[in-house]
Amino acid sequence: MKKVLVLLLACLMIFGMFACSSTTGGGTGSDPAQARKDDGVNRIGFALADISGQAVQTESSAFESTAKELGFDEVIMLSAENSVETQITQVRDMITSECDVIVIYSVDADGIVPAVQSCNEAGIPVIAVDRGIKSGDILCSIASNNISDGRDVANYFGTLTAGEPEKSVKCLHIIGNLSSTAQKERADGFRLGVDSWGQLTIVSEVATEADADKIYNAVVDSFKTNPDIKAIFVPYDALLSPVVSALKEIGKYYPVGEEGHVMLGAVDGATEQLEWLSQGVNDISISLDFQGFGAKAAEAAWAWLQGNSVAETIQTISIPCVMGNVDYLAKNGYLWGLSK
Amino acid sequence: MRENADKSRLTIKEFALKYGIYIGFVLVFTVFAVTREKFLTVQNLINILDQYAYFIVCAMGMYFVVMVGGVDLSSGGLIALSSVIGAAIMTSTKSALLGCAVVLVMCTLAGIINGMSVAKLGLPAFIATLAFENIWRGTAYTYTSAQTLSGIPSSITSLYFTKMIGIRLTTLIMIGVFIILFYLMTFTGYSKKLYAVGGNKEAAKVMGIKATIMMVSAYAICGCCSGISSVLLVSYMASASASVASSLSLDCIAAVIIGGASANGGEGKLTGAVVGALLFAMIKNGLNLMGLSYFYQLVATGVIIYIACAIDRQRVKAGL
Amino acid sequence: MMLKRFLPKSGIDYLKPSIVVLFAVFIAIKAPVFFTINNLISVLSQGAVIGIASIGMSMVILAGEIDISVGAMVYCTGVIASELYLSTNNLIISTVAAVVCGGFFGLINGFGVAKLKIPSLITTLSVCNILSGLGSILIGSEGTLSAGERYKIIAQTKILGLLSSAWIYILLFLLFLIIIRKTRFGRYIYAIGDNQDALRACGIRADFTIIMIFVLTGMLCGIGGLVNTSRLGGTQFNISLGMEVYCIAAVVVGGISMSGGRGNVLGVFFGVFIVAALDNLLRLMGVNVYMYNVVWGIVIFGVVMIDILKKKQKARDLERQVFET
Repeated sequence: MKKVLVLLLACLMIFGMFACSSTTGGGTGSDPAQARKDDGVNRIGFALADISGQAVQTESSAFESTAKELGFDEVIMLSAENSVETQITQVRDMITSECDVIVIYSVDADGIVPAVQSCNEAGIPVIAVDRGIKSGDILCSIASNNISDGRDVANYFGTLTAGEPEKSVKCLHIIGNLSSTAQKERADGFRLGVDSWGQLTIVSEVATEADADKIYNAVVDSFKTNPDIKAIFVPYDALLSPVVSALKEIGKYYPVGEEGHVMLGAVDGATEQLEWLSQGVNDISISLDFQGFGAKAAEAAWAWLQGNSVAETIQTISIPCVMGNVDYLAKNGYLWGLSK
Repeated sequence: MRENADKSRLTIKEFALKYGIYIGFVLVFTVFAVTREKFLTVQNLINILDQYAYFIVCAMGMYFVVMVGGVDLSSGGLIALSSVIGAAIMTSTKSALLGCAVVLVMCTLAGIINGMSVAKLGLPAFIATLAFENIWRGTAYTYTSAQTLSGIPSSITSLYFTKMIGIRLTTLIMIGVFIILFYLMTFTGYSKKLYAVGGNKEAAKVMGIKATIMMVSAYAICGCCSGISSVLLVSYMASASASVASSLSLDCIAAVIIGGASANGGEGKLTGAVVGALLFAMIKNGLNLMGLSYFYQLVATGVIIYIACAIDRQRVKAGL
Repeated sequence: MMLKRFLPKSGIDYLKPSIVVLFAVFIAIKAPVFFTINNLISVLSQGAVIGIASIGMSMVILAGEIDISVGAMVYCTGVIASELYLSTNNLIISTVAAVVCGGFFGLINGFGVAKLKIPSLITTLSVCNILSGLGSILIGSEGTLSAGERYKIIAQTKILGLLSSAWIYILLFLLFLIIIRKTRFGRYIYAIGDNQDALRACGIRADFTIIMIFVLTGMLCGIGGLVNTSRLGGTQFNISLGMEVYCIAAVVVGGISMSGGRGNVLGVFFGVFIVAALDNLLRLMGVNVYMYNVVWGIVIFGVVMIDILKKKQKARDLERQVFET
């Protein structure tokens, strides 16, 4: 046992020495900008909330290719799979990796703040993309408005059913991943939108953890309690496929225009759902500029590195796609998910 | 606890097996150090401790539960619930101390409830703690409506942001917890009883050890460590939310078992558990520095755990 | 413990049925839709995938082990099946591939547990990590795979009013019952969970049996993955990860002891039904989405506790009988 103790003490001592040396080391390199220039490698980090989905995959590959084109030597991309503490750790690891700029697509707008503070301390600029960050010094935010995206869907449902009697259009609201800010904001937006139309009402909200299996069951079950559901809102486009499969199973699937059609709306603008629009499967998909998110983040980072000024906020445009405009939009290259 | 004093000479194979976990540790360490120059900096090694202090504390707690032949899957949910309640108290009363006290008491109580369900009511540990994981996490979600609570008092966040002799306070707390638990395991009679109960409950009863009390105490220690872990996590994240620590319990169990503990209880060292947890933290850190994509990280972690455990079990088989 | 004092001597025996009746009345008032034939049938098909995987899980738990890679196996084999169907357009190839791959994943589990002596919790945890990563890598950047209408034949064909997914589950379960009750392999499974060393002493190859159990579980998960993707008409990132929790719950609620060696496998069928029905009920009753986990935890805890109280009561009765004679 003595041996163990001696060993332990030795470890502690070594540790203490290291620690002391590191603080003095930190003292000499007090100008972080100076320290980073010594590295000679242009390195950029991209902390993603998750990587499971066509939209984020598009965003990250647009980011990577743009960054490489512009002249970044190394691109580090890490996904936190919707865990706040993992994302904080990953951002801090990027600081250790001596990234020159860190781009964050945050799991949680509040939760990521301490990691941003660490970046600020280290003198590394932060670019917020896709989702906002609540506080801390942000070089630039490239934002879409998730609340208005959700509201747009509800408004479209509202216009389609204008003139119906009050509370007669029953909506099913499918909730995806509880830990994601985008989910929360889109849900809030949808609720806001529904509130502004007299005839719309949400009869059921179901938690599904964004699992296709659970969504399928949720749709089947919801129609048992409310057989006259007229509209379904899903926070992500990809989650519409199980909804359609389920509607087909219970015999409630009718294309747009036919009697008994259930309105379907979602946000993202994924390829499959955009193609569906012209086939009349779903009614509306809000196409977010995911390619733009990735590319613009890389461009802003490069501009900063070259000493150019960077706009504080860069707005991207969400495009509501419906049957009538999807072909036109696709032809002119406005959509990330579809081009003709 | 088997001291092989007479067996002073070991063959290379025996040596390799006996110190399998440490060799694995050094191997992984070397691989990372060679592939990423940033890995082998003092700053990064300290970072690992800073970032995973909460994980290591939780793993140390888990060690006690594994020692009595149980598992605690509820740690993650408990940390989620206690951190949101602690954060709510801290923000409303502006008293960090009260918040921490509530967190610690709550978690210890939850640990005792776990222990009672397993030892007294006879529920399988896996099921009882799985049920509580769901109950705690669901309560946390209901309480916060999935919103993140921020505005944690600076006295808590400064635990992470203040450095003493170059080490963050959170890491020092972790080391403190280790020293206390190490003392408990080495210099008191507690460890003997713990091993006895874990090895064979009935035999321990015959020896006059109060097995039920020992088991409840192990779960209580685990709960208390979850509480400390929860405070560390709140100070690390400067916020609290119901979705945190979702895979923490399983990772902790894996760390403890990689560290040489037997899953059936009664065998294994606290230092082993800490080394296991460090190995885990190191893998995550190294893979992050390498910038490996998430899916490949999953595969790599799985392969490393599998191999590390396989080596360790060969040691047990060889009777070292 | 306290509860027992207020009940008649063998009151525990009435506890479970009376709670079930109370619950049924409550449901009948709050969500009358639940008791329609239509809904009960759909609960069966909703539980089919969990049920198929639970068959494997009950063997694993009977043998005193645990398998938490079930969800990841269902995910990964499902991806393989639909990916292959997309490229070959052949249902037989994708079926065979799913089952074979599942069996191979199970072999990795079984080898780790039986030969390398890694605790099953850890073996399967690492395999769970590997497979969930692998599945996502195989899907690629598209994120979704739509396999088309013909692929849905496997799970979506209606036979005698039941969906084929439910039939597959029922048939597999019957087969499982026969194997467990009538074959030597079935008896070995119980024996391993009861006392592995004794089995070895009798010259029975315990290791081989354990490997077989895990391989079979893997193959069942392969079928589960196939049925699941066929039901949904394709696959997506992270489908059915975490399903093992439901399977374990179903098996334990079904009355199989977590320490292995004891339990009636027929109970697993009801366990699966309870788990699927609970999920179904939460949605039908419109429970607050954040409360799902809480209800779930309480039900699992309650059911298992009643079971244990009952067993204790039985043991005490037996003791008393022995004492009196």
